[in-house]
Amino acid sequence: MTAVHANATTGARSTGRAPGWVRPKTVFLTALLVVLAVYTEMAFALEWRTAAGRIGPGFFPRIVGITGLALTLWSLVAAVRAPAAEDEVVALEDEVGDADLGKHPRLLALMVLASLVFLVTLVSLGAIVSSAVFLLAMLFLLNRQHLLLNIAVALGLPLALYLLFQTLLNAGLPEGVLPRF
Amino acid sequence: MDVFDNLAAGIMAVLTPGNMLLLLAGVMLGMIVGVMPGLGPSAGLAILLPLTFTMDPTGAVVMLAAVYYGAMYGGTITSVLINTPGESATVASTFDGYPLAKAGRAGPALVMAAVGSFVAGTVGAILISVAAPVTASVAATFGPPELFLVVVLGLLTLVVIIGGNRLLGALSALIGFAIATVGIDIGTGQQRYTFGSVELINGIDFIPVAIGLFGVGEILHTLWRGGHLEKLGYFNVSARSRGFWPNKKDYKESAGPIARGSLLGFFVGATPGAGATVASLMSYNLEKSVSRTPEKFGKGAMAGLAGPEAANNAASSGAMVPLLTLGIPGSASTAVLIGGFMMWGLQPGPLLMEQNPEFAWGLIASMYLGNVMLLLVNIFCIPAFASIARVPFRVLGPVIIVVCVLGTFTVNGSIIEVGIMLACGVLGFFMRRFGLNPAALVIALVLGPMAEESLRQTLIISGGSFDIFLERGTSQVLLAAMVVMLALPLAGKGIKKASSTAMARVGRKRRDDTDVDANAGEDREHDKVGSA
Repeated sequence: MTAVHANATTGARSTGRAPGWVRPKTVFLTALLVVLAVYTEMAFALEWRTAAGRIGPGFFPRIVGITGLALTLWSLVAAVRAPAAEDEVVALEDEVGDADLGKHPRLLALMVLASLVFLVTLVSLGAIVSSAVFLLAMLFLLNRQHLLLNIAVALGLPLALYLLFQTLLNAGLPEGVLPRF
Repeated sequence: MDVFDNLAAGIMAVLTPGNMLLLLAGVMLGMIVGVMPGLGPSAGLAILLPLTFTMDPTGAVVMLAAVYYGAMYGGTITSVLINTPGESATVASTFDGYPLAKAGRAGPALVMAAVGSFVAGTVGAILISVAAPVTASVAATFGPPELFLVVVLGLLTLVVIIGGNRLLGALSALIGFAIATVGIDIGTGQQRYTFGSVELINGIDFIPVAIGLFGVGEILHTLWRGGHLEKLGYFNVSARSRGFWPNKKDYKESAGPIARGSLLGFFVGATPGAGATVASLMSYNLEKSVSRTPEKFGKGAMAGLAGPEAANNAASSGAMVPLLTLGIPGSASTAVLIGGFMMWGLQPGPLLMEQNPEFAWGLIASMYLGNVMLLLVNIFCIPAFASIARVPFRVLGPVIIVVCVLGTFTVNGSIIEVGIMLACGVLGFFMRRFGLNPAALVIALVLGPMAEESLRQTLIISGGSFDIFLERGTSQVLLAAMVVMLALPLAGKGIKKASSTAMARVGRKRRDDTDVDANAGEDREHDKVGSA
């Protein structure tokens, strides 16, 4: 096992020891519970039945909201009471791959943040420029050893996609700072 | 006779140079998507859906169906060469596919998988040609109560059969239903959960949700678990090498598994909610149980690859039956296809085949032609697609995010939808991480409006009484099916034990027969030596 693998494995194993109520899954389910509670509360502001006796706009949301709340609460209790080892659910395909490369929450957060910047700048900078900036930043972060390849991909791909969606299919991508072509 | 007439008309509709090109492009794109790490057929379909906006529905569905089959097979290439299934339906292909590649038999494994996929796809197309009109004629008699129950039954099957945590599966479906309630209530015209936003009046489109959950969500999850650090150990495959083609023994060993896998896969796939993953795993277990040499399974048995491959492709055809006849998607990929139907102005449901025969039969016809195309592309382009599988995730990840963002923007030119897509990407990551089921969410999102509408109509017919579900014959049958489905997890262990005992008995009998044959052969050899 390489040093990266060893560190990664250690890092991964150390995550399961937190008490049930502060584990990531519990936090996620609590957030979901809050969202569903707000959803259900709003559903009760909608009519259950119309004046004509038909089902109202609140009928379906109330059923969905209450059932959702019940299931989330049940899952939450199960998650808090479950042993730490069961905190992580591994998908079927993950089990097949043999490498444990650790968990990378910081990198994940950076990718989400970069995607948000991409979203915010998409209209103002345009599809080509904002895509190129996003690609340059992320490729520099993930694929540092291949600078030339990164630049080629960051410039070539947005241009190719623009030609496909805008020039060929006339799909209406934002032009931003560059003129439309 | 109608079937042949309709099928002939469908084939004629598809056999235009433009559609043939779309078929070829679809197969190629599908295979590219399938071999990309972290992308499966559902993500591929969702991302490529915007490309079909400007096409006529028949051309669009021909291309997307080809993407669907192509992506299914693309996953096999990575399963065999790098032990990484593109999606769960090809997990079973790694069990013996990768050991075959390790033994230097990657070429025969991939060609045999392609042949198995072709046979299963063609068997599936023949079966769907017969089953779809029959099911459609039954479904045409369904009223709103039956339609509502079919939707619930489909979701119930998905939650029960797919396995994992059923509670979280049901919760995922409810989140999908909740998202589906955003927008104008059809019955009263009142706005729900729009928060005054004009963009949300028409509801949350399912395309950004599907692209986010399957595309961005997968990428985020792969990145989180270190996909960018992965050093892929892969096997080279070249059509020019001597050992590229399967030998007679391979064909002989695979014939039975392919035949069994094709039939099993079709019927499992046609069950709403079951699908290709269940079919391929069932086929693997079946083949291992009835094999004369079960000890070879997991070590490179051709039957262990050919059976699940056939089953997974036949299931893809089978999944089209509930899609075309009931408007019920049985899997995440078919949920994306049904979203496409709506986008092209078609109304999925029991009347789809009746009202749009050229479209429905064009789709069925494209399965016949698509399978031939897939076989040719598969066999001659395996080495080229294998090289795509070697593009590392650290480059592909950001590229796929850009494709998802620009693809979503092109749907309605809405930046809000891009935001929804990214938010769903983050949700998809957490759903995968904590065992929720993104497929159930997307299917519920697609079916939500149909469920609400059919329930509303049902209660209008009955004057607000739920007794209507107990009074109608077909509803009673569907309710009974739901009870069976709910009881299945309780009876599951017993059924599993009984079926594995029965299969083990068949396998033992086959092995005994083989021993008798071998002993008889040895005796003959001894006699010959003795007489000499």
